Amino acid sequence: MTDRQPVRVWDTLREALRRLSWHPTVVVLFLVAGLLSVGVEQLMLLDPVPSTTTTLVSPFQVTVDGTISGTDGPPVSASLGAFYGLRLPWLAARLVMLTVTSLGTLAVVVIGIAAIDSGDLRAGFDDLTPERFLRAVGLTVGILAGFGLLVGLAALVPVLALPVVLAILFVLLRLFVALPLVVRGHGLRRSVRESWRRVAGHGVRVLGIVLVLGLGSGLMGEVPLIGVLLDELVFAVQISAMTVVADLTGSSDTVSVTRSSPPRPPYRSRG
Amino acid sequence: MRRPALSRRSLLSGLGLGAVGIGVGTLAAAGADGGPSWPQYRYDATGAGYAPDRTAPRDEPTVRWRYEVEHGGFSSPAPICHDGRVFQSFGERLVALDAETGAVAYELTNRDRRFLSTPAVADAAAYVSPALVTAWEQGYQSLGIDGGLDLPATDERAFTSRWHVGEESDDAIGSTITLDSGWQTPPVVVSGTVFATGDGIAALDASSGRVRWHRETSALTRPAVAGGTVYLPSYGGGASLVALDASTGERQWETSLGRGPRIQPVAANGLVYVTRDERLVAVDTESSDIRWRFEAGENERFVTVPVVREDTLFIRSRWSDGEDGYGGRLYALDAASGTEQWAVETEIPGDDEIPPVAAGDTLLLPDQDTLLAHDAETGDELWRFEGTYNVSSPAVGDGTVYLSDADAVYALEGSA
Repeated sequence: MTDRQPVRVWDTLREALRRLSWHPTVVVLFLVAGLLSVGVEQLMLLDPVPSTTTTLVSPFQVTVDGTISGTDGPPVSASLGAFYGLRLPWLAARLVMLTVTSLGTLAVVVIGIAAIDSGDLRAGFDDLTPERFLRAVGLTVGILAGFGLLVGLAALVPVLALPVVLAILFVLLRLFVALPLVVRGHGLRRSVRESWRRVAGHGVRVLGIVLVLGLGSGLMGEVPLIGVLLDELVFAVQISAMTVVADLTGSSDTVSVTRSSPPRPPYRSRG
Repeated sequence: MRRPALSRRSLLSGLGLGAVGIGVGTLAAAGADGGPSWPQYRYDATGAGYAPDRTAPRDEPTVRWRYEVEHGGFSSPAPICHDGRVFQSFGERLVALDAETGAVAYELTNRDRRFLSTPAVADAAAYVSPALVTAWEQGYQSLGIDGGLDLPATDERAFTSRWHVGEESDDAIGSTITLDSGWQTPPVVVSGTVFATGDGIAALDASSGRVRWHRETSALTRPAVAGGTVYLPSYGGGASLVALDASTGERQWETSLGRGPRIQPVAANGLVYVTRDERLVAVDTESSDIRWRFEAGENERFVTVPVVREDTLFIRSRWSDGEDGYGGRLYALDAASGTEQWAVETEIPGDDEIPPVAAGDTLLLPDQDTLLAHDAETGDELWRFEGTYNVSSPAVGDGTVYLSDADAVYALEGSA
């Protein structure tokens, strides 16, 4: 039995911020993850691969920001074709760095969700069980593998580009709360099914949340010196918003997290 | 701190892309056919135009193959050759031709963007195969030289794009290498570094396209790179020769050459040779002092940059008798002292001819609609090939000369 409430963009974001304000240590966790990303990026800048620093702007083009290299040169762009013919050591090193950073980030997300749910960072760490972490990894890898196939298809058949982009966006929105559900102890399949069902009917507003956060991320990232940290804060808000939407769209989750501190009060959307 | 270009989403998507890359990377770049290489315009980065190990025909050559092109420009981009392929750009097309047969192996057509220079082959550290770097209307771009995979979903192999750098002309940052719309100075390549010029000079990593350094200069002509130093002209009131550290772009020295038209340096034998109308100057690369000058005769001016073959320098001139008589001359000078060794009369060259090159003991002189071959020891004419017009600078394989004109790409073969 679920208790669905309307998802409102600003109310959701406000609640996400409020939850984070209860747990400032969670925010610190995200900042550490951000610094890890920066460190890996600096390492990868030594890697002479065109897509060393990639910001995916479309399924067919990655843009490399060359300014961080210390030389204000022209921007460099590379296409997916840039992966063709790479030497295996470069690919392997790149994959190792990406894997370390990605798994580290995913661990922070899992801990963060659990900590927000339970009200305690330590409880979040306690909830980082191998089983849940592997489920979170499985969910992420599964989604990326699916997207990878779609992108590969579109690369071969360019006329499918727009449908693929729309399909990816649709699926991403429908799976917006899958990760919190996994962390809360649901199985992989059930989390996907449940997220798909819960977000149905809320897609436009969830899209609004994603757009607002994306815009915020872009703006924060442009702030000199502390942009990377501010960007991490936006990411923390995004994770918190995922828990809020999960609660709004189905409050009967069995939240099997360790509760070493008093649970947060139930959240109700205004209006 | 700046916002990391490597965002979390990028990392995750990069995982997927990386997996794709592993698949294709292991299959990539197989099957270089071998064969002699003429990897860039005028053979190498020094601009000397001399390939000691290449042999051009010594007798009248025959046309082994001819590939028709349509570019209709006022000048013809030069072909280059590498690993059994001849690479030629014209208009929006870049083609890889089989060096033996002239058949198109693969090609790339830019949509509404013309290629603007002769391409150059550059080492790409992260890749199995070298990069083919060329100027186009959006800046510079790098392509995989080997033509990519022949996937079932595609009709045929094609160049794979690796990176491109430089944006629209109103991009303030990109303005360092903003290009004119016409033909550009071909990129100069030294190992894994590409020196690209426009209204400035930039050193690019050939593998990643990353800009290592750039300087705002008025480098309108092809720079020469030798011994870790870039030599290029600078104009501000008068012309001067500037030496930059090739790895950092820091200026090492600058020497004034007075007023005059644009200059193109050639580096060899510890000297930089600069031609300016009626005068040829040799500048010492260590001290920046002028080592020697060679003056043309009365009513005579030099019309090409020199070609330097070991200890001999060759240069073409055009002279008039002050009335209606005109002629052309080919000089051979001692490269160290500037002493004239011999001079022979040649075809009447144009005012600004394409520079000659030397392959082994043969000099090849593009001359408007003709390619002239002269013996490098005696200056005697060996043979000539009549093209249509705008004969390009040639590339030389073993016993074969590749060149283009306004109508076609040619492979000329003969006994070496």
